[in-house]
Parts: sequence; C-alpha cells; structure tokens
Amino acid sequence: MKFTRRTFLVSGLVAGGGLAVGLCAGTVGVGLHDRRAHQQDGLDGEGVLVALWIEIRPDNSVVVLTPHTEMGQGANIALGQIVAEELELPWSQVRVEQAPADRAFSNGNVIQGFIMEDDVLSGFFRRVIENAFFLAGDLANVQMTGGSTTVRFTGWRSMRMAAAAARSVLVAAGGIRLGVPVHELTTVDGRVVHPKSERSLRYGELAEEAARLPVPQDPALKDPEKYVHIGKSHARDDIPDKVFGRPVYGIDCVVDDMLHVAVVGTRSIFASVDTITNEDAILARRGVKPSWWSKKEWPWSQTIHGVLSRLHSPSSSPRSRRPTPPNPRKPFCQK
Amino acid sequence: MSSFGWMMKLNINGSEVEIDVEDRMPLLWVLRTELGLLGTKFGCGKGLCGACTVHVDGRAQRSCITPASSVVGSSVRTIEDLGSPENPHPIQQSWIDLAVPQCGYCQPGMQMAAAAFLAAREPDGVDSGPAAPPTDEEVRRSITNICRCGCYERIRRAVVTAGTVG
Repeated sequence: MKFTRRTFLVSGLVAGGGLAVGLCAGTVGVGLHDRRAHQQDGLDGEGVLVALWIEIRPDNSVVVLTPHTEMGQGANIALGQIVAEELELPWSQVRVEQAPADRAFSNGNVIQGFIMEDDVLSGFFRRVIENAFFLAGDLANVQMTGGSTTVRFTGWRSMRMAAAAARSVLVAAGGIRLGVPVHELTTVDGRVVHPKSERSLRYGELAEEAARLPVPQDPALKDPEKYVHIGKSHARDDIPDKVFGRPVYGIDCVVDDMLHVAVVGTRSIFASVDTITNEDAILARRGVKPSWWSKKEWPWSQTIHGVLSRLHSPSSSPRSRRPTPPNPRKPFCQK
Repeated sequence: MSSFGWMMKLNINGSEVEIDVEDRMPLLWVLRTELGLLGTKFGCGKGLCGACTVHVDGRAQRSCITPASSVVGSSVRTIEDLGSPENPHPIQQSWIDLAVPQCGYCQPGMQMAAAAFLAAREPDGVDSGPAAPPTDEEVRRSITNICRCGCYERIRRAVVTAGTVG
C-alpha cells in the first residue's frame, strides 16, 4: 500500500461527549504549522469544527463531516461508505453532514493529492512538504470540490484512516471496560464485541472513554476482500426531496432585509456609464431602492452598475392577498 | 384600483388566488415571489431551458415568458401539486426508482414537461385502448428541457417507464 503516514491522527472530546477523530499534518519536529493545535482549538468551543472529523455521538450515530459540496454527484454517499466500511457500521448508522465554511476545515490534503498524487516522501522532507500543503490550504482557505478529490484524497486517504483509527481506540476502550485483551475483541455493526464472553458494547457507550486514549498513527486497515459497503450501490438520500421540488437552492434563499441587484455592464469594453437614461422609470417601479451603484474601477475598465430592488419576498408580500399554498414551506437560509 | 398594474384572479394548484402585480409580470415570478411557490425554478428567463415549466390547462408551458395576465381563467399546476411522497405521480415514482436527478435544479420543470407529455398521449375515447408506451424518439422530440448535469439518458428511461406502467 502506498499510504505513507503522511498525516498524524488526533482525537478529542467534542461537546456532548462524543468522540471525534481527525487528521493533522505532521506536528513532530517541525514547527512550521501546528495542525494539531489548530484542530484542538476547535474542540473547546461549541459548534467549532476541525478538519476531517468523524464524530461518534452517545446515541451511537456516526456523523461524517465533509468539507466538500454534495450537488447530487453522490460524494456524500461515497464518504459514508468509506467510513462505514472501516468502522464496521450498518449503513443506517452513518450520517454525512456538511462542514461549516470555516478555516479549520481548509483541506490541504486535497492540494497535496492534486499535485503529488500518491508520491511517497520520507523523513524530514516529507514533514516539510506536508506542512507546506496544509499551510497552503489554510492560506487559501480551501474547501473545494472537483477532480474526484472527495473520494480519491479526502475519502480514500484521510477519512478511511480516520475511521480506522476511530475503530482502534473504540476497541481499546472496549478492552478496558470489559477487562479483556484487545486481540480478543472484534467490531460488528457499530459494536465492540467480545465473542468469548458473548458481551458487547455500542460505540456510543465507549465514545467518551475512547476519546481519552492515544490515537494510533498507523491504524490497521480493513482487508478489501471483506468490504460490504465499498463497491456496492447505496441509494442516494437526496433524491426523494428533489423529485418533489423541495430542496432549497441559492435562488430560494430569503434573508432579512435582502435586496436583489440587477447588474448591467456597458456594451463595449473601455466604455463607461455616465447616466442611466431611464433612471426615473426604473426608480418608479415597485420595490426599487432610490440608489444605484456604479463600479468604474473594474479590472477590464468596464463600468458595471447595479440597481438595488426589494422584490416581493414570500415573507413580506405587501399587496397581494396570499393564498395558503398547497405545499407551504418557508424558505430560509443561514447567514 | 392598483398602482402596479392588474388586480387579477388566478387558479393555482386548485386554489383561487388574487394578486396585484405589474402588467406582464411573468407567471414564474408570480409563483415564486408573490405566492412563495419556490419549486418552480428560474433558469434562462427566455423560455429556452424549461426549468420554469408548469402546466397551464394541462399543457406544459414555460412560465418565465408567460405573462400572468395570460393565464387568467386557466388552471395552473406546479410541481408542488404534481404529487407527494405519500401519493407520487407516476413520473415521480419512476424518477425515484431510476435515480434520475443529479443536482435536481431543472427537475421540477423536467417532470412537469414529462407529466404533460404522458397525459397528452392518453386515450381520449373509451374504445381507443391504452396508449402505446412512448418511444425513445418521441420522448427526445417532445421534451426539450435542458439538464446541465446531463441526466438525459435516465430521464428518457424514466419517462418511457412511467408511460409503460401508467
């Protein structure tokens, strides 16, 4: 296998007592960029998240936080499959959630993967290179989706390792709790099982304890011969909503005091706008704000101007008598 | 009466609604911004892509170039009324079975176009028997909506499937 421990695993407790496992670039020996501290900062505050997390909640659900965009290409399903595989989870126990747009989720691994594919580096040089890529990821604040990187790098490289490491510490915690050696334990369907005594514990019961254990840097990976999720087709869970017209796209978002802007460019390059000949007519229209802006310093010397308007929004339609829609739903978006 | 244009009564998804908008405001924007029916999508605004397709008296129509005033007295149906998870339209069922949508943005319009296409093929006389399943060529020629994800092959199969089952 070409994987060369290019990442170090960290773990910790998250708010609510779950176990989270993430990855960080090398922190030993090189002080260029302390990914570990970067991530652990995120563990203190509620709702702050760190890179490439797999979170095990006390209710036994496993949440995979992805720094990639799911637009129906099935990336989330693939990541869920990879994690379910290494963590020995039934499909129903895995959930994939969108990571917040936070610098802590910048993804240097993707940049590294793009540039170096699976090139093997060694020693000090390797750490410098890894740090450089994660630093680059932070500087660029990179969360990107494309080129199959979700599965090739984040999934196959990072999340698979994180899941294997999570499994390892859960088994270790199970060994302590049951008072048996680790090699007598196995994992089945989201449980640590001790076949000899026919005892088992749910991951959720062990998460807190497992989060306090040192995370292995080189966790054992599952034998591909034993894969039950990878290579199978799992149904995409985003489809039913899409068939009934229910997803909220960018254009469906409404936020407080939202204005729409109509942008118009001049028709030829190097031209600029002096006046808008029908400005009065535009301003007389419903909802148009008595202001327009003009940006003359556009890179290609073209003047762009926009007219701000407040279209009727579903939440504040002032004049029409609104019916109760047959399928009412209130669009909302987080700021 | 109104400073904006026309006060008009429309029939949307079986309910009477009264709106007061500018003359010639497109039906699409009446649906989306006046009535909050956000399932119907804006794509090109020029009647080309079909993301805004709704039914007007059962026929598929691009709502972005349809003045709302032109559908007074007609029945308008949108994706919100095509079916529900409890009672899906045959098109919606085959869409789910064949995992048709990718990003899904064009799909409300696509499904409205497909539903109207199938409905138009249904026999109008008792003795004419069930309509033959649509051919691939018929689907290709009749549904001109654009899907940027390129799900055409699955769309075609799902339409033929729904037309065969139904």
